[in-house]
Amino acid sequence: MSIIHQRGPARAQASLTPMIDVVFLLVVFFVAVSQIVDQDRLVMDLPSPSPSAAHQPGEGPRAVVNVMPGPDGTSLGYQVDGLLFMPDESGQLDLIEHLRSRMSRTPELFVNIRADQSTAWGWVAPVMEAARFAASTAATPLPAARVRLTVDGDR
Amino acid sequence: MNRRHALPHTGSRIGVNLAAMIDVVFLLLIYFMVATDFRPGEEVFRLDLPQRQQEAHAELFDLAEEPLVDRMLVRSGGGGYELQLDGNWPFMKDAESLGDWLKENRMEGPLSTSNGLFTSRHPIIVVAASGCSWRNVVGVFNAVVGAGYDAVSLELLP
Repeated sequence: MSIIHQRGPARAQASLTPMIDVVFLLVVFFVAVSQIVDQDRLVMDLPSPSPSAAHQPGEGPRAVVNVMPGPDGTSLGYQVDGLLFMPDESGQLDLIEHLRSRMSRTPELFVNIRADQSTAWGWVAPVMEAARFAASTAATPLPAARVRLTVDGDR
Repeated sequence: MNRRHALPHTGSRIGVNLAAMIDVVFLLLIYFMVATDFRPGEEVFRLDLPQRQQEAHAELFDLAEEPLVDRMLVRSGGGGYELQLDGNWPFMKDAESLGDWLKENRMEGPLSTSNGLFTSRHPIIVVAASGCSWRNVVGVFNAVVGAGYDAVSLELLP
């Protein structure tokens, strides 16, 4: 026996729920990504050797030292963990102290150095010296400072 | 008079108007899509900087290999550089030729010969003048690492 329902003409209706779900997911993704990118990476023109022998940094505790580019290959200072250290003797001592305290808390800390490709080596070398000295004078002196040079990946 | 009781019951459904919210959410989405800068992934070179005291207190009879020292000097009048290998080694005109030479003289590896000079753990120190650009220093460092050497270090030319 067939039953005929008489409800009038059928109305097509778009369900908005999946679209809103997807759009919200995209918004959350972009918010999260923009925060991650801005956290400890200053925008600068990193060296990009080609073909590059560098590798992916991987996970692990790290302190990112940004050598802030200045005019004519100089540097305006060193930025680490949101703190700015001036490129002079007292600034370098403060930088050593900051790295030392982080290495004392986290001996397996990597020091990632980011410098603009036009910056002169003489402004980058003090960061390596600071890392070396901080490692040797940490609460538990480390045999070597674990330093990584950051470059742009192959484009 | 209490109006609530005066309203006739019409059976209409109360609904939330989603149009405004969707407008705002789409604006946010477009903003973040435009503002987000997708840069190529960053890569790193690993570099261990040993303490200087360890070098100073090295045992007298340690058979440590003599490091190959590669000096980078700023070329006068230009942004370039000159490479000088300490010792009786051939002249290197740029980072690429240095990398090729190191690869040919490595004891292991596809391009190595039976009379290779250096192991992949042979210490190599790139000593650069302070005026060298970071791009050039990283370029030479990259050439050495790309030639298959692990123990590469950077120093500032005194």
